[in-house]
Amino acid sequence: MVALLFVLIYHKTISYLEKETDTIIEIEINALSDQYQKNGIYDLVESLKLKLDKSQATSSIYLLTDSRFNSLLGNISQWPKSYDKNKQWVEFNIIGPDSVKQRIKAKLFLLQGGYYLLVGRNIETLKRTKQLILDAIIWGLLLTLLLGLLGGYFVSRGILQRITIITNSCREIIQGNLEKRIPQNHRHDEFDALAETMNTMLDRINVLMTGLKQVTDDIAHDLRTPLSRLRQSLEIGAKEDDPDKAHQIMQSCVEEVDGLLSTFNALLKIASIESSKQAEGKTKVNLQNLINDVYELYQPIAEEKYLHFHCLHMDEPIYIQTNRNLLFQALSNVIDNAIKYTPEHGEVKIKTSMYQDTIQLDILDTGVGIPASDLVHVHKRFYRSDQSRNKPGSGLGLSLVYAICRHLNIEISLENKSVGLKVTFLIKRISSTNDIHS
Amino acid sequence: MKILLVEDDVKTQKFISKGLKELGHRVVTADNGQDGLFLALEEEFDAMILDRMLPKLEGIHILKTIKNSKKELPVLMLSALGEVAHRVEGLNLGADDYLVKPFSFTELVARLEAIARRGAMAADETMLILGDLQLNLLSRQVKRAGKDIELQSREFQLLEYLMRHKNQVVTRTMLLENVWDYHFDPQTNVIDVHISRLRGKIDKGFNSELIHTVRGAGYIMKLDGT
Repeated sequence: MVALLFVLIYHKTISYLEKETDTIIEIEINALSDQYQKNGIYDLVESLKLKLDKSQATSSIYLLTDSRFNSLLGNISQWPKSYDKNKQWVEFNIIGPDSVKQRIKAKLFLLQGGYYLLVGRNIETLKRTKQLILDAIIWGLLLTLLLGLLGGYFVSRGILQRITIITNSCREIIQGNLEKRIPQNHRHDEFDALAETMNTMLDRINVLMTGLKQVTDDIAHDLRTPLSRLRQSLEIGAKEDDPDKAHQIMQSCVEEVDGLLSTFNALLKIASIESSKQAEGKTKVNLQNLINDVYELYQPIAEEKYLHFHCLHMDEPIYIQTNRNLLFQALSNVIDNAIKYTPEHGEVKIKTSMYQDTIQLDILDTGVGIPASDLVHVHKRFYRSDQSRNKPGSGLGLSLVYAICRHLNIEISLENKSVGLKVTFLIKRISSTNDIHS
Repeated sequence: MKILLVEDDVKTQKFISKGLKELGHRVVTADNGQDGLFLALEEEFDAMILDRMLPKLEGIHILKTIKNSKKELPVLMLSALGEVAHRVEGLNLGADDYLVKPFSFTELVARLEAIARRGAMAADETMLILGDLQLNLLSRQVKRAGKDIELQSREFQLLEYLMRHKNQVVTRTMLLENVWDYHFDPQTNVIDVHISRLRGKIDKGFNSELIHTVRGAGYIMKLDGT
């Protein structure tokens, strides 16, 4: 690219200089021939003589000959040998005053009356300029190339060093040093950004792994009790002779296994929700209908506990984009808990309100609430506060609710009131313009 | 019933086929998609159990082909618990029911019988009858032994579903899915309370019970002693 540019500059400059020389010669020869035509040979000789006096300064060449090319007047001794009758222009060498060869470019002109006129210019300077420019271009190119190579070498060496550092750090992590992080040199360049991103990724993986380990431990711990209970029952059942009693033991074993299975199902469901893409299974849902359905499903249970169970609704229907089955699951888990932890004759209330495009859905109860120290832990799998340990349940209900909320982009918060617990969901409503289109 | 079971996992296949045979059903098995589709199209079956993930031909593809053919073959799809939307996709493509592993055998049998008999049941029935209980689908009136019974709308739907599947075990999840139209796992058995309310209206004060609890499975509506 640079070379091409240089060639272009060279070509333009040279052709400009050459053209200029040609034009000067042409103007001069035309002027001389005009003079001859108007005033005859003597006038021409006079002006030639004048020009010859100045020729040293202008490096011009003049020669006037007769029809047989015998020199009459001029500053070169003889007509050039390389003369070609058919060409007006000629180039030839002469030996200059200090016996140095000089290049001449000249134009020939046949005057009426058989005289030949030659007007030329010493183009040695032009030739030298040409050479000078060419040299400059070649050196320039070489230097550019050298600088480019050197610069490239140093830059790539720097980059390779950084990559090697990252590679080595990664190797160390692979070999088991999971706490190792990629060093940053705080130059705030792309490599720092890469190192930071990778470190964040490693931290996240670490958190997930710790979480996974915790869950694995919790599963093992929580399933050991029912499994050993099951083993005990089966042992007793195997020794039982009375078929009726054996059958009864079998039935209780089946129930125990069902409980285990539902725990596993809940775990799998949480895992599947956490790993599935957000957009899946979403449809336009009338939130009020959904709340009414949950309310209606749980109403008989609440009635059995003589609870004041009621819904406070907005006047207009509220549409949201969500997965109705998952949202139903989340709401039913929370309401299930509210009913479970509220003593008889208490109150459970579902309240919806709207702030711009956000729907606030509160589920309030007059139950025991959650101790402040436990509030941050309730979303963890198998976490059970001391007061709920003796109630039926797997300790997965709220974990599932939190997983669903994360999946559906719903904000959830838990807050202890003076009496009971308030669970708040913040749900994005379909904005009214979308409403018309869908 | 003659049932086609297409399942590649040997253990699951044996467990299902053994269980169904013990209940007196005839079971034909295939362990890959190609054979499964061939059998489904060539032979007559009362119902088909179709695994979603199969070698050679995907379960979803088999389902589409069967539903596009003129064949009336009820299909119960099985799948490992995966993406949230799989169940909806299966049902949208015409699966008659969808069951996620792990499931209990009672759940499988209950659902299989429900979809197999759906075809035999006249869709335009206006009166459901079991013993002295009558359910008029048009006037939405319920009578037992000539006495009018007042039911709330959901109670009526619940009774209708149970009556339509009389003499069949109906599980709690089946009721939630078909009567309440939500697919979810309740933490407590909310359904039991609804059933006990319905019992209070249908069975209480009459000399025989029609709604029976099947331990570890669900409910069945039938005449006492049958």
